[in-house]
Amino acid sequence: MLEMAIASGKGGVGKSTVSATIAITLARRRKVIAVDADADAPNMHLILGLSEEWEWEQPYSESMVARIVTEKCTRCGECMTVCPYKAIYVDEEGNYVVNPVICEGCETCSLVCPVKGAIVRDETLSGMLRMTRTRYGFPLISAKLEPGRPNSGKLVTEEKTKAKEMTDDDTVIVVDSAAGIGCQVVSSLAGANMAILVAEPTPASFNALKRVHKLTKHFMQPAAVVINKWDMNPDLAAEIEAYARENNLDMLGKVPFDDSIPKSMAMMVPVTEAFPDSPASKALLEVARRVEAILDEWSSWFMRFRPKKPEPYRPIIIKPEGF
Amino acid sequence: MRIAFATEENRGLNSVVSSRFGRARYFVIVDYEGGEVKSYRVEVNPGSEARSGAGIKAVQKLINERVNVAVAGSFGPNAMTALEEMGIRHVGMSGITVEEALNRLKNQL
Amino acid sequence: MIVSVSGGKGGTGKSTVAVNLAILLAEGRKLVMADLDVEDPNDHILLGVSLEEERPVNIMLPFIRYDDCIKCGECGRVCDTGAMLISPDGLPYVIPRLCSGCRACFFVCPTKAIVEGERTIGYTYHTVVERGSRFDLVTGMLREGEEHTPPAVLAARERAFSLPGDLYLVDTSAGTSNSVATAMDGSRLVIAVTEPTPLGLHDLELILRLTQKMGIETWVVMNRSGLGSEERHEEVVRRYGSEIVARIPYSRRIVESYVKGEPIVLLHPDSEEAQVFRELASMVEGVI
Repeated sequence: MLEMAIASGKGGVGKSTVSATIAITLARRRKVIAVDADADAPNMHLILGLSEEWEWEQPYSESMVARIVTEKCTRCGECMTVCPYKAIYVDEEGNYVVNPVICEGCETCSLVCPVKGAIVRDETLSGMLRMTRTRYGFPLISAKLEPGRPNSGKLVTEEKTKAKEMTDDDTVIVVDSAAGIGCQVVSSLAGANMAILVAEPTPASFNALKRVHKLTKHFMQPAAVVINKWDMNPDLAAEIEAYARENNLDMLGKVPFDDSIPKSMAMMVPVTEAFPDSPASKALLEVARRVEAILDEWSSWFMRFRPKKPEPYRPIIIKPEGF
Repeated sequence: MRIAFATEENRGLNSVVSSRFGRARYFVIVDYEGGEVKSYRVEVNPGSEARSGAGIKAVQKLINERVNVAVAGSFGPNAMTALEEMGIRHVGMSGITVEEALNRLKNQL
Repeated sequence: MIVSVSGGKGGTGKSTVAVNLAILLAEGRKLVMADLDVEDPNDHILLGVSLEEERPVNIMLPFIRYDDCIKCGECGRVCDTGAMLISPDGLPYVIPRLCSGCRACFFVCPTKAIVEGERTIGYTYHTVVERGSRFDLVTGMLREGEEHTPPAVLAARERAFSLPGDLYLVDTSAGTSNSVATAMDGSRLVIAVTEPTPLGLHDLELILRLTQKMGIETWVVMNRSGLGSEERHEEVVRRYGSEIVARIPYSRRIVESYVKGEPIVLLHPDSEEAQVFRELASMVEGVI
């Protein structure tokens, strides 16, 4: 079993299109499971042209939300003072209320409340976990975060758990990672044997690429780069390529800017099916072929591109007096 | 020497070592002395049910069980930090049974 | 007054809209812009300015006075994020990277053996922007390796609101998590940016659900208009009691401006696209 994570650090650069093409191509010869780990804004099912009809859907609950029991509240205001998220406010009637779309469910407010039972924690719906079979010969595990809930590394891990329940020794798990660098991305990358980093030649995307690259170095994962819409800015694309070379990242390919991609998305058909001869499709298929080649000669690729030394994260700590 | 193997199933020494640590379903905890298994038991990993910080809850379990070595396919950043700080050795290995893993580790222990 | 620019999907052009609006709305008033996309802020990049006046964002980190510790283990039990390990001899041990700074351990300790230290999880910056007009840009940035966004969002928000201003323009991050809710909390108006694709539609609905939950008036801006059908977007927008107030055409000029890092209202001030932004800005002015 092999797990690959496709990440970008920034949304909208074409990461999901790359993931979909890789999954579809690999599925022709191998067993594949796709995992859409971007629960904040899941897009894979749309790119693959699937309707919102899932084979199974299950609610997922992990978070707690605090609630102030108004009848018991003495309005001392301690909870509002200590809340680290500023989730407690006073309403027009002077009642202390917890804002459920900001509260993260830590226990701090209930610990300082002088009245027993005035603050309780309720379990809330965090999101939905769901699965469907695609017409490309592989299943897709997806998730959707409930608006206002914290981004969840655990939800991503739950998706991967479900995926692993369906794998054999020769299955390839293709993870379309979440955007950003927070816990949802860390969970997307954790346990993957390799990472594919997608960027477009804009300063913002290049910046994001470097930040996600740091995470893969922490995980000691060999990584490769795909530059999407490369002809949007050939100079910056060349800079990204140079960065890849200098940092021992494998260049998988460059995909040109091509309106067959948005057109195919509007048609809800993957671009390689809708416009197989378009420049973008050809370049994407070439990327997928290179990924197949990597899988065929895995150990030598792994040895070549694996980071040599671990780069642990070092926190910046300010000690209190006397320590 | 006490070794914990992360697994997704409870089949004793025939359980396959999991590719992940923090959220693996079980730990097969083996007391290994003089090149052989003295005893073993299978415990549920509290990290598999944790909201967040799963890796740490898993490490806490190993601390409570006085484990010296942890074995899994990979360790997340949290777990890795905690294991190192607590002086528990971590070994990357997966896809084979606990029994096979013990054979391979024999020389390193 | 606070106006937030948001958009469920990454890459729809939320920051482009925010930055162009900021330049226009700063004319004739004191504007403060807050880039709260702390995992990957890029308004300063789109504006071509550097980040200045760095200040750390610190959250509480517990330190244990072992002489006073009675090994009750309560701190370990109450820790939400698993940052408090209990070592084999019953003593608590902090893993700094995991601590969210919630201070639950501090409050629960019966012997006050936990002392407050700090940890830097990110930074806020303040830049005076002079691009066309003059305004303040406050940026929040999470350190790589840190996972917990709300404290950085809160710190950047507070810094922005501490600056004098007639109007505060907030650029939230993409998505609909509680960080986005924190970023837009207290807004008079949310401008939700979407695009005429199934992906844009799907994520538009998510952001409208969130603003509905929060009771904030929302206007929708259609970016890359002309790229595809907008019928279903219009349906959804109506269902949530909102409307599409502006349509930015899909054009090579906008792409060029994005690539060059030069906002379109400065690069091509007489273009059709710049005109759309100007109309949007005057609609916002009507609400102020």
